[in-house]
Amino acid sequence: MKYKIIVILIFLSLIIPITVFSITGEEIIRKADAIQAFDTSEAYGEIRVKDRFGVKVSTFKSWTRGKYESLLEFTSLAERGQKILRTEDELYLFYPDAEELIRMQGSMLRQSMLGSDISYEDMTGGKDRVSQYDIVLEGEEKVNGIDCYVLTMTARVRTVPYPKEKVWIDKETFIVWKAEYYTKSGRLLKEMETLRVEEIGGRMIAMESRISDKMKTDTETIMVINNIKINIPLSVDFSLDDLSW
Amino acid sequence: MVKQIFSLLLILVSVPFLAAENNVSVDMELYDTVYRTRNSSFDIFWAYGITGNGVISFKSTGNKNVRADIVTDITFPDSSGIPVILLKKAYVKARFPSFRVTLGKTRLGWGEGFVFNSGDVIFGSTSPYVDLTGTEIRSETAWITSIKYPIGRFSFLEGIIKIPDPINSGFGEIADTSAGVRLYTKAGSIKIEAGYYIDGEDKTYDISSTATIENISIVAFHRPYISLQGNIGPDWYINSSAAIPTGESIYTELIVKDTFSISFGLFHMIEAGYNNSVTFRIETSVLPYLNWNEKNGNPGSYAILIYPEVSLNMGSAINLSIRSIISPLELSAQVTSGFSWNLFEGFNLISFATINGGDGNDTFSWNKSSWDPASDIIDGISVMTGIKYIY
Repeated sequence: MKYKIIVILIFLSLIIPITVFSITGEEIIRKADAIQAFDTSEAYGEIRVKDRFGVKVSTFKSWTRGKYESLLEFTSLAERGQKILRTEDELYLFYPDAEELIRMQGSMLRQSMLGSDISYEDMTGGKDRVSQYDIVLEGEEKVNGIDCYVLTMTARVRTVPYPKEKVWIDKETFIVWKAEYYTKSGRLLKEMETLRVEEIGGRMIAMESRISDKMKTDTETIMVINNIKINIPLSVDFSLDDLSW
Repeated sequence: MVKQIFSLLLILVSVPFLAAENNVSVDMELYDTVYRTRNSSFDIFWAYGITGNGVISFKSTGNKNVRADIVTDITFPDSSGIPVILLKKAYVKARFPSFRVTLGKTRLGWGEGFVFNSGDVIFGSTSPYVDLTGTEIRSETAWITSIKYPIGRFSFLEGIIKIPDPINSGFGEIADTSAGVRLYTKAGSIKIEAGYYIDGEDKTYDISSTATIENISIVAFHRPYISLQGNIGPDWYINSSAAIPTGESIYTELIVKDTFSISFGLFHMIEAGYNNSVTFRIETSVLPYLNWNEKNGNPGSYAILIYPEVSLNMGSAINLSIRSIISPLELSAQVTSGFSWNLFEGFNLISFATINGGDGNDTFSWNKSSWDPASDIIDGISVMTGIKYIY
């Protein structure tokens, strides 16, 4: 009798997670990635870098196509005309004063983008995380009163910016409300929080997010999208010609 | 001088009108500078003053298919104490469905390299005499007409016509015109750039460093080049070019050998503790047929020059760097250490110290054996501390 109870308990312990989480970690990440990927988008926004001396604001406009292609042009005074072109496997910079195209490879990708807490490598992280990470659904938690799935993701490939991530994903909208980025040894490097979302064209889109570097004190980067249009015809082709224009 | 003042007044008077339709920006750098120099009787003394420059840019806005920029650079003072006003850029570029046209004075970045770039056949980026305090070491501009034709998304063909610099030669003969074409493409993970440039400016070519003949008149040079860039852990790049005189000359082989150059470089970044990074860059310029042995009194004529750079980025705001141009065959060098701190938006505190080491007649020297008051300013050492502000 005693053995029967133990066997039943072991069986239940195996079954319960399956019945409680009727969705798998991979499916959650796939849905979270899907709501971030548009056929096309055109956006205007700003990056606010805050440190102990104040706030530095860089404004930009950006275009995206599919999962991997994006073009970002800075419009603020100090860096006006600087552009970043990302394709599936390449990242290019353009400096208008020097009329120079720079192809980012290797270690150059780890450089900070405009002194922010975002590196060029952060920009190259693909939006197809299911193929890049081992994903484990850890449980559920509330973030700012919103029910979220909690997942840990351990990188299977070396081409992603962080070896380990923990994410809190809205159970209803699949918005990522919070994310933590770790080293391989489990040291917390960065934290991202979504501060504001809006429904645009029937899709929930994160309009404001805060990225704080946990290894620094008194610094944070806030990314704001002031205006975004999705699934519209674009005038850019994500080419070197667009980059150097 | 009158022309320069008139140009400045014209620009300043135009500012309110231009500002209404343009993006106007000013990039100002001012430095407290102490340096070792000589007076008219060649006695060495220490000088102190404020130096700097302001770059005013008027960029067009509005039209998606037309872009224009006019940029003036006001430097104060030159050796005579008079501000120097330069028209750095003045161009309009227009984008058509299948090609792009640029007309005016602008920068052309052919080849790869931060200091040494044998692929830069237009401006010739192989000279050791550069200012290592700038964010951009080579920034020459030229009056050009350019047509760029995309071939797919990551390749293009560019053709240019360059007039001789009017400041030096005025509107010269059509035969003095220079022109070129380059192909920019990718093969696998390697970027390939190859081009040809015919340099039609009148030149008196000096090959005294390798031959007894001093000056040869050359009508024009053919200047082919190739440039490759890739990654093997560090990023790498290599460029090569040569100048071939047009027409037949008994000196052709000598000149080709004299001008054949290869430049190559490596760039790598490592993390130095969390949030700090160290970048390493080394570039080498080799002109293999120039002097491989030290010859007194031949500065700038050696076969090899090296540019090493180490830069420490502390967080995102503070940068410490050491840059140097080394002439290893004569053991002379210029070393520049730099510090910059981005405190506020567009505002940086900056400091540089430059020191030369070598014998009096080397490429770089602490005590120059010959001193030209018209062009020489710093003798051995200078220290600058100042502010850079973009508004």
